Amino acid sequence: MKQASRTLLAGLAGALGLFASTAQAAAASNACDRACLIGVADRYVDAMVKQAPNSLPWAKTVRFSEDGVGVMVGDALWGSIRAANKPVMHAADPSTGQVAWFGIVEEHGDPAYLALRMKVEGGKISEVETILSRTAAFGDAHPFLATPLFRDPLPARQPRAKLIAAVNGYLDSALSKAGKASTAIAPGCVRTDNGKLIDPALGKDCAAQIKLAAFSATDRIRARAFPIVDEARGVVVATGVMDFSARANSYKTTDGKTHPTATTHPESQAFIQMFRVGPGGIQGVETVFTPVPYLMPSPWTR
Amino acid sequence: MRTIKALAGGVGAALLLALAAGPSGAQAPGERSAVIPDDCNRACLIKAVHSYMDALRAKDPKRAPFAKDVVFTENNVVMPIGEGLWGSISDASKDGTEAADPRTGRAAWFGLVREHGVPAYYAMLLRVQDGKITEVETVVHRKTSLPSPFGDVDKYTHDPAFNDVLPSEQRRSRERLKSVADSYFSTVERNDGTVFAPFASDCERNENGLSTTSGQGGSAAVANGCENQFKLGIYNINKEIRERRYPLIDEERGVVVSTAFFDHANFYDTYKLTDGREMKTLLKWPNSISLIEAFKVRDGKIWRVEVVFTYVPYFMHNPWARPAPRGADQ
Repeated sequence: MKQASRTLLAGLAGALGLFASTAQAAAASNACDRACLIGVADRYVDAMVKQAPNSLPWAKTVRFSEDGVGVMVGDALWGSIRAANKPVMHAADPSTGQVAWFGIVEEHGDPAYLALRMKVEGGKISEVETILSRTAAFGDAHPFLATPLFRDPLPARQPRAKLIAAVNGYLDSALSKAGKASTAIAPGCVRTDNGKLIDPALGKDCAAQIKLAAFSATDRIRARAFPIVDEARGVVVATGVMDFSARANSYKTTDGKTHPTATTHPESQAFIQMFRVGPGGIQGVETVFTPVPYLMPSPWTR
Repeated sequence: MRTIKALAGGVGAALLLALAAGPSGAQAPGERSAVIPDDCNRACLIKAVHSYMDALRAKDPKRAPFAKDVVFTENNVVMPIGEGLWGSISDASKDGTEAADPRTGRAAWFGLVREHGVPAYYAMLLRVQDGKITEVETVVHRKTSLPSPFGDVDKYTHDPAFNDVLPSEQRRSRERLKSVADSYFSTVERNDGTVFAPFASDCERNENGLSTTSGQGGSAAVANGCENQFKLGIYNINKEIRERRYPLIDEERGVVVSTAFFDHANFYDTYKLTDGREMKTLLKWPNSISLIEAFKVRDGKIWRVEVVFTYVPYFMHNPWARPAPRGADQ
């Protein structure tokens, strides 16, 4: 496990370096600003509903995945989607040419949470990564924090590296069995998973959840990437995969209580998460995840 | 217990190497040697299966004769021996449906396992080379909220037909057995009432411990009998039966063990049977099921089918398969 952690950290450091070095170059060559990127993402979803992939500007080589599996454009959700609902959350990063779209779509009338990450190069779509939660309980769902929190600029910009470090620290904190937070978390921070607020019994807010080690049944969070950083709004989009080995079928929170694990069998969850990081730390977390076979690799790991 | 090294890419690369490795030259394509070694007969292969299951039950890989570079998959994901079900298992049934193919050095086992006491259906294919287990491919079906056959574990029995040696006049060649199994998948694919496969009139199928051709379980609730169901077009939702493989064939017993994906694209959510009845798809979103399926072919006809399958993300790839490039024929 130590070796795996070192590999992960080395990979992460490499990824951070890559982002830092390529961001400026990309900014100079990418003419698609925030409004442009959001427009392309909206057009993409609209094209899916109309089942008209040919209406979009595609790069010569396109990579597309749904729930961690590479598929052809026109297949998968493209064939089953019938509607896209409001409200929608966006995040955009013109320096990397990437944009995220979080919302609820309908497949033959059945709702599903969709998180989408897209890369636009020279005005053309080159990457689309999607995660769909189709089995979430929608009855009491909190349909995304589509609030000004993720939309409005902060009083002061924060450096890209600091924002990424904060989010990566949150992911590390989620693994802590001792409830140790390795990043600042603002009071009142709210996290939703697939539109549902975290069970209050596992902490009233993000900080309390970490302190309680609410997520510590997770063995690791791998294939981490931070492809979208909006320094003005303090928004970071993270992607990755969580692993649950189910070697044990219960875990303890720091208050001494024992909880059953979510499943009694090994499982992984592919996710796309949107974070808002304010001056006081993490302010909000929106997650869309879906179960995938245990240890399934991410097709986006390079 | 092997540690996880470079989970994201290392094991995948290792598998690719393992699959691609092997001398090229004056051997038939895909063969390690121009002479097939006769060093592990059926009894030897079944013994290897039992060793594996004993080791798994004990969570102790040292109890089985693994090759140093053994490749292991669970539900189509490459992982080290010791991961996946190895970490969660609490028991495995002693009995199971068994099959072996000394020519390819492969053996199979279908049975029941438990994880922290919770039952799951399980199918496994392994390969023995030079006295060591070099390959292990498994499908584990856990009961979830998704609609799927899941038989009563207390009533789960194994059909002795898979173990019975056929009289010589009821046997067929390896090649023909493979074609018959393949014709089953061709019948399932876009099932519209056309039957490509030869079925015995008393054909029966067991899916995840449940008979789905007799009684009221699964598709049996719509119609009984293998061929009857396909003539009705019950399985129309299968867009493609993809990455079909036939790693184990036993000519003496007429047994073929195959692997494949059933792709449920669900571009539509209703369809009509050939008798005019309207059916609704079980799910409205794209999904695939990954399976290990055993056929008993008697006198050239499919007589018994036993399968373990589980949901996986739509269009997932099997690391053991080599899909043909897509697009050239579309």
